[in-house]
Amino acid sequence: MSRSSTLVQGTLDFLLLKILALEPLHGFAISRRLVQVSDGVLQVSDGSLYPALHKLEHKGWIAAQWKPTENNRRAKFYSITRLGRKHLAREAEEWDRLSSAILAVSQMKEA
Amino acid sequence: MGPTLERDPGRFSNEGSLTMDPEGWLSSIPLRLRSLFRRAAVENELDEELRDHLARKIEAGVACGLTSAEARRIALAELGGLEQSKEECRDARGLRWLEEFLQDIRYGFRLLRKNPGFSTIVVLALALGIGANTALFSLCNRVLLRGLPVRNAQQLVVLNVANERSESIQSFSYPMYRELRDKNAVFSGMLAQAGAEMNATYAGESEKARGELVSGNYFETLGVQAWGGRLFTQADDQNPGAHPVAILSYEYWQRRFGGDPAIVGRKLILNNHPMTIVGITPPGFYGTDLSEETDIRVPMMMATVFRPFPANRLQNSGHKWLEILARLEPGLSRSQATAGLDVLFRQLNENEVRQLPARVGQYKKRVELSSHIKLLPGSQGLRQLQDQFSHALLILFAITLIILLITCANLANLFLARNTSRGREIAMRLALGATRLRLIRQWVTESLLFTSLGGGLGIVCAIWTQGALLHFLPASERMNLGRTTLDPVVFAFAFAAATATAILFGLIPALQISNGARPAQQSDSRLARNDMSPRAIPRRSRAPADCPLAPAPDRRRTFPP
Repeated sequence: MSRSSTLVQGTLDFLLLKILALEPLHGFAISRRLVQVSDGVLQVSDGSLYPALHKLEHKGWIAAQWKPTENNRRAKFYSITRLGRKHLAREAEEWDRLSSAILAVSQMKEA
Repeated sequence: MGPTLERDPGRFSNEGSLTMDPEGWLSSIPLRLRSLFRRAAVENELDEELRDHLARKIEAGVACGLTSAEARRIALAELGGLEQSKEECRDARGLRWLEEFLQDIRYGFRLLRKNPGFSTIVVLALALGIGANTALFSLCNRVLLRGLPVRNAQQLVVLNVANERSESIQSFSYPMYRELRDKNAVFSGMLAQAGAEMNATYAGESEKARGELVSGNYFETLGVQAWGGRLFTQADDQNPGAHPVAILSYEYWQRRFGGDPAIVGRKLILNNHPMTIVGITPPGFYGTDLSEETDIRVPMMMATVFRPFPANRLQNSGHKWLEILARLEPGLSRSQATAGLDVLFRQLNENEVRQLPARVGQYKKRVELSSHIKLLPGSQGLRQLQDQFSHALLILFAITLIILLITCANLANLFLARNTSRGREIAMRLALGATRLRLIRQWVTESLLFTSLGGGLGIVCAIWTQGALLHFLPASERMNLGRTTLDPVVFAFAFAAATATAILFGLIPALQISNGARPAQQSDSRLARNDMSPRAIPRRSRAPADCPLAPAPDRRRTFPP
């Protein structure tokens, strides 16, 4: 998993769940969305994206479904499950606590 | 704030996100099963998903003005290679160990078929070793471990009297039984029994039958239900000679009456007395003694007919002829019950001794007065067979265990020898990146495969030899063992024996691999021999897989460890 070294381990799970909480997407769309929403700051290589998706699927946090797309093709669409939403809510709370704590510390230095 | 900050990043670390959510794990079971049993479909989907991604990425690249070859190269590079990415997705399934186990089994089977002679010898040796142990364990289980076929057999106790001369007597008089039964406060039931010779006549044909006089509460105390008709109650055991009823054992009913259900209610002449058959005991119920098979049971009050001498047998406290078993009140231990019963027994015994005729000497009276009650565990009934043969059986069992150990030692040698001939395979696989742990796992899987086959065949052998093994016991003692069936305990034993055997003889050769130098040197000498043979050159050019082997031994020769 060295290819995801630009991201903190576990953060990727959080990002993927958050993106899929908005709408079901297929893998390629997810990778584009990741770049879009983070303004290109968060680089997730395609090589670590798919294993991460499969891992989440095996944890029961997301579910996959094959759906037709444009030009008679079909793609594997991932959507968040009830369990996934529960987990996302928990993680989001933790993130808020952590980031506000770090923010507080960094502002304390400046003052 | 400080400690919280230290703990929090942990939640986002890899271990944090890997903690198993039991609900999620349950909900993804169908997914796991699918990737195990519909492997081809799952692999196809994985391929399709990644190829779809590549196609879209290439399209996007071309749209940005790249050539399709260039776009393809970039897309593949970002994915980190199609096959590598697939491998990581397979890891995500968390079933790798199982897949590898199945892979090892398939490989093991191929090896098995490749060396039919070797495999046959190993499987036969194991079948004999495990089979002999299973057969003997089955007999030990039947004789020494299994309880009486009654309800909650562990609550039963056998009444015993011990005196100052360390004599132990299991016989009681009828008055003593009646008093103990009616006045004790520690048993939920207390039964008495005594054997009786019987001559059974039905439809003009007479034959000897093994009979038993049983107290009216016999079946109730044991907790046995009727197979047909009804069993005795206290009402069948009230007045001497007044209850002409009999109960047949299932086996006797089958043997003598062909299992005729209309037999209940018919008359059977026993010792010239017409007795009505009222019921049949269930199959497998042999009473309270494994070494005795009883055909017909009649109420205790019929002792006047079936054991007519002396005539006052039921009133005389001097005749001790009954065996007594009792069921402990729930929650009471054997020692508590002994204490409770002994007080009562000593009172009754004193009365009995006082009634002894004057000609009985003082010494004899003192010995009688020193008597006290002892309760023996009754879960196996009277244990006459067990007490007689337990040592012999255990010694025999120990011998077969030793034979199995010798088998293990021999097989370990055989497999060590095979390791040397597999040296090249080992070295090759290590060179190709297999870890030693992975090789050890495969070696153990192979020995498990052998012992499973050997164990399976062993169980078949055990079933065959069981009949012969019974002849180890005297014919008069083994009547209730003829119907021995293999029960789950025996299968569990065979399984445990097979697994232990696999570990014993499989682990040593497996561990030898971790000491990898030796097999590698073996392959080295083989390569050297090949070099000298006229076939050497074509062989080497034919088999490029040999090449990775060459540097390793060479290096080792130059720099000895």
